[in-house]
Amino acid sequence: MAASCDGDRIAFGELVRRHRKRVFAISLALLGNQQDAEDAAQEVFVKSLEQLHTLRDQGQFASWIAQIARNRCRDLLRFRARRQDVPLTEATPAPVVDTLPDEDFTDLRRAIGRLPDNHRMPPPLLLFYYDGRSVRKLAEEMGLSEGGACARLYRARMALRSLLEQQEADHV
Amino acid sequence: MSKSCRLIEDLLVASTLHALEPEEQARLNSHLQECPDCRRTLLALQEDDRRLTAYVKATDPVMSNLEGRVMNEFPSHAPGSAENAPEHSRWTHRGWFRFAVAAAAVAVVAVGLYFIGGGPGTGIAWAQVIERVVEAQDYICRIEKHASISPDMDMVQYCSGEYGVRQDLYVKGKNVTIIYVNPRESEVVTLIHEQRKYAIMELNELDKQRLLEGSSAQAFVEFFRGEDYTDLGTKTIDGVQAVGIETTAMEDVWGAMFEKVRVRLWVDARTQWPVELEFEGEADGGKTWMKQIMRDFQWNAALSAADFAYEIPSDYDSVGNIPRAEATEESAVEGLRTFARLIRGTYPKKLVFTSAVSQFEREEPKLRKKGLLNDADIMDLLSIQISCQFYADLEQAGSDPAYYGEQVDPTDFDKVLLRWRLDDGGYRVIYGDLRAETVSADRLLDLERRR
Repeated sequence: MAASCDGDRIAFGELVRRHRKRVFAISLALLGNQQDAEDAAQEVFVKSLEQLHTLRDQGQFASWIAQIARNRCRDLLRFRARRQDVPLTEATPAPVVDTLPDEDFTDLRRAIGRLPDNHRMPPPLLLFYYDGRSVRKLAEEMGLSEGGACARLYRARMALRSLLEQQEADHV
Repeated sequence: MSKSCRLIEDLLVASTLHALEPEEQARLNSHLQECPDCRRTLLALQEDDRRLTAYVKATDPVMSNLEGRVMNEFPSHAPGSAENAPEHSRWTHRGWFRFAVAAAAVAVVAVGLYFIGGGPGTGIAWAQVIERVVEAQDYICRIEKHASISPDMDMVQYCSGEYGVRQDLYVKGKNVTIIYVNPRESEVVTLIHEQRKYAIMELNELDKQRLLEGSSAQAFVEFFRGEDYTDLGTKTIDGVQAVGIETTAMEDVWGAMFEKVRVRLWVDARTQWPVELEFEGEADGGKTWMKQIMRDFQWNAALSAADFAYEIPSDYDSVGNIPRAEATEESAVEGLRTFARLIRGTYPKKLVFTSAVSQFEREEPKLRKKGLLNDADIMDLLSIQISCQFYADLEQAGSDPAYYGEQVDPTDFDKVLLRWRLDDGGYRVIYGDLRAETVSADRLLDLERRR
């Protein structure tokens, strides 16, 4: 980390590689849109580099950058809400542009964007899948016991199912 | 949902994650037999699980792009980085060609780690070093490259036994290009960010083997097991006491690219992991050269598919197909024909790729000025690499090849441009006008006296 502060590209690259899934998962969960999440994650890392010298406890980098990500996404949501002149909570489900091949994830993204657990830090559902479906890693990321992480995950999964069913019903 | 269903809810989710104990699974199964609602919920949860997994997997390229985008914003302050290097005057308009060359020549751009045996006096158990490097599936390193035919570059190389090789190229601290050698898809993909262009080169099995051998430290270690080397003694690298060895016995690997090579490997005397690798190659008696230093190795780095995933942005234009073909007589002749067409009547002086590119570079400004050359033509130049590879293959096979590009041009219909021995003792001859003929050894002697 000190090397990153000193302008060491490879050291900073390693930091990015290690934390990009976390930052992207948080951004995607909060913004609900892949392109916005990618842009936000980029801004988060650039900002982290600018402010890295202010981080006193290097062991706190993961939670520190997660906080930056969360703050940045909330700023973007506020901006989006102001622009659309709607309350923040209604601005959360972002407009979705699906660019992924083969399978349409529009409904899934919309539901993920509405998950209440996304506003916890970090959001359990996407982290779990980005971390290779490992409960142990999820527990480490969330600072919880494996049982506690499982409970969050289960709630998120059931909430997601409920939202998907609701969306299907709305379409019908 | 009934009370009993609510009690079983967590088990439903856990079962889709394969996280149930046997007795819990039995309890769930028992409930499912009686409850069609929970059976439907389970199917829906299983489908959600599949879709979430697919969704996250589909964003793998985003991860890779994200890293590139972030690193583009990274200011380069590192001493000795390319930031302070003089800018190459023709970089901008022809950068894509240079990187196409880099892609074609990634075997050379990439690595070279090798050696062996166990020499007395070094204090290093070289055989063990090899075994450890071979077992290290993945690594990351930084590469500093200087060459007579391209601008100075910094590179970061990611090498995985499973996913291939990725090389991020930086000029003046900016990530200008990423090269992916993808063994699964048998292709090399080059994204030239600076010019919003891309190139895809398909690989045949031989190309793939060569590229990966040229790009993988592990493959090089295996390949050079048993080669001779010279002890270099010790030196301090970034505060680490390192022991080095050197070899020049690399012609069969690098023959199509350079006439001479020298590789030095420095190993941490304490940990016995490689800490620095220097590669030097030269052609044209030293006029054309390349030097690269690989350092900052991260052995056994935890690389994943996301590190090698790529997505060609929709607004990037293709630079055209990079010509690739089996190195056969026909493709070798075609490469020579193309070169002579581009240079207006001259063959490569030597069938060594870097030398041919260097020769082309000397002629290029004049040809452009006269309007006789454009970017599409330049891409065709890469076909000469096949000719060079064909010649290197002949050398490696001991087929007594000879090439006379310095003395013979396309008007010399009766002079030998290229020849090699066939299995039956006869010789195959390519004349200056690219006509081919099989002749006896005696007839070849007569023909070669005409030069």
